[in-house]
Amino acid sequence: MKQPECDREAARLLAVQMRAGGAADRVLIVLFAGFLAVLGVLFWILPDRDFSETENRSLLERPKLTAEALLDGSYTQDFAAYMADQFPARDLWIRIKAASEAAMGRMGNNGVFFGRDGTLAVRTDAPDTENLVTNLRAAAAFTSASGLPSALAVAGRTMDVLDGALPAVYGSECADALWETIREEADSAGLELIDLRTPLRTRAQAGEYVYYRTDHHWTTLGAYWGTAEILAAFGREVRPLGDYEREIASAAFFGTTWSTAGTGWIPPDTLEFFRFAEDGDYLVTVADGAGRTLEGFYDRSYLEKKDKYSAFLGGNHALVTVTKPGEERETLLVIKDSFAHAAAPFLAREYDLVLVDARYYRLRVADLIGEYGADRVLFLVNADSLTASAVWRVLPAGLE
Amino acid sequence: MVFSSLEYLFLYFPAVLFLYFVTPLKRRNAVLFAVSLVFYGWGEPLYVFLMLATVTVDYIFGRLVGKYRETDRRRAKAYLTAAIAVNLLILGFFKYWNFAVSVFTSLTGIAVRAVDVPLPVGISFYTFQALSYVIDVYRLDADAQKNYVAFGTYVTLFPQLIAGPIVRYRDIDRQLTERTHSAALFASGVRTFSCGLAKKVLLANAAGEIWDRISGAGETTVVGAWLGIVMFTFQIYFDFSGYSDMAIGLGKMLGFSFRENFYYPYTASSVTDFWRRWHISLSTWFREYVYIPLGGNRLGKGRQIVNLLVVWALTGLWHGASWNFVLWGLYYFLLLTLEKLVLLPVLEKLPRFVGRIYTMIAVVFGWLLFVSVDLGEGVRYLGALFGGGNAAAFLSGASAFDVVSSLGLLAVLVVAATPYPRRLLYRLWEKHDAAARILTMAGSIAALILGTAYLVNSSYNPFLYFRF
Repeated sequence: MKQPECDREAARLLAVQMRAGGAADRVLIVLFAGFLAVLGVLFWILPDRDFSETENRSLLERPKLTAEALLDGSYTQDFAAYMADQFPARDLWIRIKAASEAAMGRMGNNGVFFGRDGTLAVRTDAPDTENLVTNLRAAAAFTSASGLPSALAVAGRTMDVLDGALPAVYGSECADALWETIREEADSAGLELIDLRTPLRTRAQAGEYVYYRTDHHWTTLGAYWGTAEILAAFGREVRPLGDYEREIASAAFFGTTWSTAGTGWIPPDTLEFFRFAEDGDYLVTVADGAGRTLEGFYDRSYLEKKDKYSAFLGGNHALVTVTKPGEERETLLVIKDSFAHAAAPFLAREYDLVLVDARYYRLRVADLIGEYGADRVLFLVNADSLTASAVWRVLPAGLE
Repeated sequence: MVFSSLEYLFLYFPAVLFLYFVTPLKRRNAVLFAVSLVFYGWGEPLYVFLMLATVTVDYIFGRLVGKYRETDRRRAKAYLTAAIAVNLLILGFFKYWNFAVSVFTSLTGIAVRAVDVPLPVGISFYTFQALSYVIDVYRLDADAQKNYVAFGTYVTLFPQLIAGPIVRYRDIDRQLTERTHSAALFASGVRTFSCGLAKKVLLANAAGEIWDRISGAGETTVVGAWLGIVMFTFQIYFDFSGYSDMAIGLGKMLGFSFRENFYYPYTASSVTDFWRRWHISLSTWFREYVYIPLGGNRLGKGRQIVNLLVVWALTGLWHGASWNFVLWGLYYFLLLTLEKLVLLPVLEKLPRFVGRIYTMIAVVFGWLLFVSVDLGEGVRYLGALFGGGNAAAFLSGASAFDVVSSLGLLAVLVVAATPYPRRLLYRLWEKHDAAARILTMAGSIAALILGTAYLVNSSYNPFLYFRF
């Protein structure tokens, strides 16, 4: 039978390669086999890491080899996952991948946009509005059963606030659509909505540093202006910026979005604390577990780690209280996500705070009202928390 | 195990190379047989025994057919028939039982128990290889393999074990016992392998990511839907042909020469031409072992069309036990028949690009059918391509962004699907040997480094601390 064209073409190419070229061939073989073997050996002999700071998670341990696990195939699957986690120079490979995507003109990597001036934003085209509806209805039920004045303050995601984070062609269409839904659903649930996206977006457009470039949170300045909106809605005024002494807590903050994007070339953010004269007078207590008190509003040990935003209130906890001993003040129950951590120092100047995170708090949130004598309820989250899960589903429990 | 995995690249393969090349020539088949079983058992621990059973059964039948083929054709034919029956029964049970049961139940209303067994990886490939062996022996195209290890090596050979190419026995029988190894051939294998790795990990996966996102979203746009299906079209080609290249490259490193499995199918000027270029080892198998034995085109137009129908229904089913694959096979039966009867002479008179555009359109819609295991979803997607279905609009910012940010990738995909890169390389090699060697060396190493980066990244999953 006649040899097909494809085989002839392959044979021609092979023939030229088979001409004497010994030295170069041997170099290629050594590089190829060496690359595979050296990394394989390094994987075996290097000690395993327990935790990845970049990814903020525990890495997998070597699975136990049992006859059962081997036969049902779970051992080999677990081993593959373990090998990926413990692969030598894991973070370096991640960055090479990100750089290659950028070089191909992809304008983003791992679901994160490469914006202007080193701004990174998580891309979310169509978030889950069912979760949003569940959360808002639950918040409304909680509010009406509690009988307390309340408001829902929603901060934007980076893609809502920093226009420069988005490629021009992508535009703000998706973000606008979500906010339209938030407004409609808050309205139909009967919640008073404090829109923190619009004012912060305006400030960002004016060049203010209100959101981090490499993290999904607002900056301390952003939290300050957000709090200003909330306090105004409650009929109070935020203290002027001049009252605060701005301390650069870290000039080397690489946030979560930066980790996801794998963009090693993007410069860090600056993380500030806004100090005020009497902030030592406040008693900040982490009420879950051992129940420790913080020095002021901060846990500075996090500034030495990658996860620097957790310096605010010591990161995620189920329940944190802030009081000003010796002063009788109104108590604000804040049902929140981590955006509230940077806002807490500003809110605390007006109210005693009970900050509860429904994702971690396993008891009845409603009981906190009586326990701490709450006078007012503030829901304070960013839009992502409202859509990511039906986290507030549990709120009305025990109120009917 | 698959080639594009960290455990293959950095643990299994270096160990195999070491074992293979420290072993004397005579024992190398034994090494290959053993490591191939490990390769298979890594992903399918229990089915290794099924595989060994297949090897043993076909080895015995091969010997029997070989023994009687010249003296007693009837007896040889009986053994051949038994071998085919056993192989097809095994394949039929694991791959088609549940589908057959569901069809039977829906036709008759009689409930038959479905079985809950996972499909052994690669069973369609290695069963077809084993069948080609007994048939080749019966037809005197090859001699029966007396050496069990050599035969076991042929069936289980890890480079082509789970995703082809389907190597016909007669193409490889001599290589099983005498093959030459050389640095030049090994180096050429490294180049071919690296090229395949790049196609799979860099191109197919990147295209697949876009297709997955678009097809997975509840809602899309007309432009988004087109981008999605175009990306799938590239994904399936680079995924499959990349895997074949890796197999061919590995074969060269081990001293084997496999035939090409793809020949720039997206430059085909007709659907007939496309099927001469796509998954060549499968179409060849069906032509040699089904179409021609049925009479091919020698028994008149009517019979030829029936033969084509049989071949294409089987080709569809071979790809999976589900209606969409059957329909996909029939879709190509219709197109190929149409071309044979009227279209081909017309296409030949028209400029080449007309045929190419027509072919690509036919192929793209074919892939939509191929990928739509849920036919309802397929119809909705088809609707979206024309502004209905789940297309919310003609264009959105998100879709426009997807298109713009894929332009670079798209350009690479288009160029890589044409013969030009390889032809340029060939020309360079003819004229400037040293430059070609340095260039391909750099390319191979870059493919390895980037491939590793993408493989590691695929497990990369940073936790945002608000989503424990």
